[in-house]
Amino acid sequence: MIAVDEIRKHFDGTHALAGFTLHVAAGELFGLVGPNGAGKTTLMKILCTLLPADSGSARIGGLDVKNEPRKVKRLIGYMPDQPGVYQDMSVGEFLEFFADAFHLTSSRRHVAVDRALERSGLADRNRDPVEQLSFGMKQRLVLAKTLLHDPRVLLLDEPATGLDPIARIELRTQLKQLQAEGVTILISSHILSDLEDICTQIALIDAGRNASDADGNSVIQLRTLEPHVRIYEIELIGDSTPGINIVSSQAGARVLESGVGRMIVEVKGADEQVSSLLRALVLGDVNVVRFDNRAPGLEERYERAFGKRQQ
Amino acid sequence: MNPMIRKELRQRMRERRGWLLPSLYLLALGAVVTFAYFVTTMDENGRSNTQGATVGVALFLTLAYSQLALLLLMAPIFSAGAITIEKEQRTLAGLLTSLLTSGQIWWGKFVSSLLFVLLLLVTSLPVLSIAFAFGGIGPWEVFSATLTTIIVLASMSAIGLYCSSVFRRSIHATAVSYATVVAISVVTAVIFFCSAPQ
Repeated sequence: MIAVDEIRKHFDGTHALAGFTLHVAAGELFGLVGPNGAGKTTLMKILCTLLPADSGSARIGGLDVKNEPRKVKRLIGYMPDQPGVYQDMSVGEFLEFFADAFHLTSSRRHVAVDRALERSGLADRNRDPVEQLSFGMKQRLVLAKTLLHDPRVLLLDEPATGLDPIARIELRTQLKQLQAEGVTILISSHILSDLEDICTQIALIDAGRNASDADGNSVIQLRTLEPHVRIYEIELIGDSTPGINIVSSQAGARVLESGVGRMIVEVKGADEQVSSLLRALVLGDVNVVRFDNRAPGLEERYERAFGKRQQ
Repeated sequence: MNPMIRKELRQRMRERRGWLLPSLYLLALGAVVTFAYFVTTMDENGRSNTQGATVGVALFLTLAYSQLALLLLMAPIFSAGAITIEKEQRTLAGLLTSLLTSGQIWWGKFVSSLLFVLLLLVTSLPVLSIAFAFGGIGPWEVFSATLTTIIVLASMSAIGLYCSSVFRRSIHATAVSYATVVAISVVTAVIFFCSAPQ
């Protein structure tokens, strides 16, 4: 759904993007992680047609972002890192204006605004001035506005920044719901625990390029879109080769990543499949010390990938 | 109707200056016409023996030039901040990623800023009618003066909008707009007076 290939952008001699590549499948909730100045916002701005790339290609839904910006705008909803609102409008007027700006027909406009009010939980504040809303409510209003025209792709640049814990939980729930409805979401954030909770995959970006974690992965697989697929982290003593061989011989299991004393394994199927894998490992004299269905912490991976550089 | 025009007009009329400016504008024009009337009609003995038509022409010219000067001062206020305010309150990205074209956004800003200045022009019609009452001028003079004022104001609003799109902050856009308006006005006035028959 989103295909970015070797994209480059520079500002006054500084390379904001220096050949970044990214592929996001339809229906994914894809995270984008990197330190400040890594190029996340520039990438988002290129994808939402606000900035032209110097070279490389960016396509959304098969449409070239540079050459078909109007068609792309129909497909996407973009929420910038510091979204603004019209403080002197009422909540309803704000949504109605953007419904008109997205050229919704009068019948669709009414339904879209009502649904946006319901989605944002602001139905009872329809007539209140936007300036009276809390920061979290304003963020919800902007997200509701972004969804007015039913975009198939959502581009969210740091949407959780400044939100309190409850608002962050609500945002995560809403994003999961949107993904379940089939919306493809690309989200950048510094709040790694949030991304870990909701994303299917996370791409690492640094200095405008694809970055890699300590295991050499530029895209971290957190969960898959298919049901009944789980990812396990297995820690073991000694060489992991026998463990890899055993996992590879098990039906429905495959090794996603491996290193000294650890493996990330994907298991498809019911609980019996998981138990069978663990039994095979133990009977195969692999010294398992941890068998955890939580993938390694994103914070830990982030630290491995970017920690040294930032110190 | 262009949604930008509706939004802009709604926002402008909600501001305090939405009613304050027309009120101050009318007060200023009223003071000018009163001052011009007494200057035109009274001689050094405090008596008036000037013909009505002469008074009408004098009042009309004074009003037309005063109105143009006042509106030239106000036009940059409305247009120079029109786009910078979207940058300052971080709403421009929302507009540019909507299905509104850049042309629609520009036209919405231009029309709404010009309409507010035209509102002032319309509110001054009762004051202008005082000049009519004295005679000496016809509908054509009023029409041509009004049309010229509208064209000048539209040009100045366009300059203000250009500055607004170039600069990031309203204060810079407004300052450069004013400098441009003053420069154009002074140069035009110099050419006008130099080319006028002696």
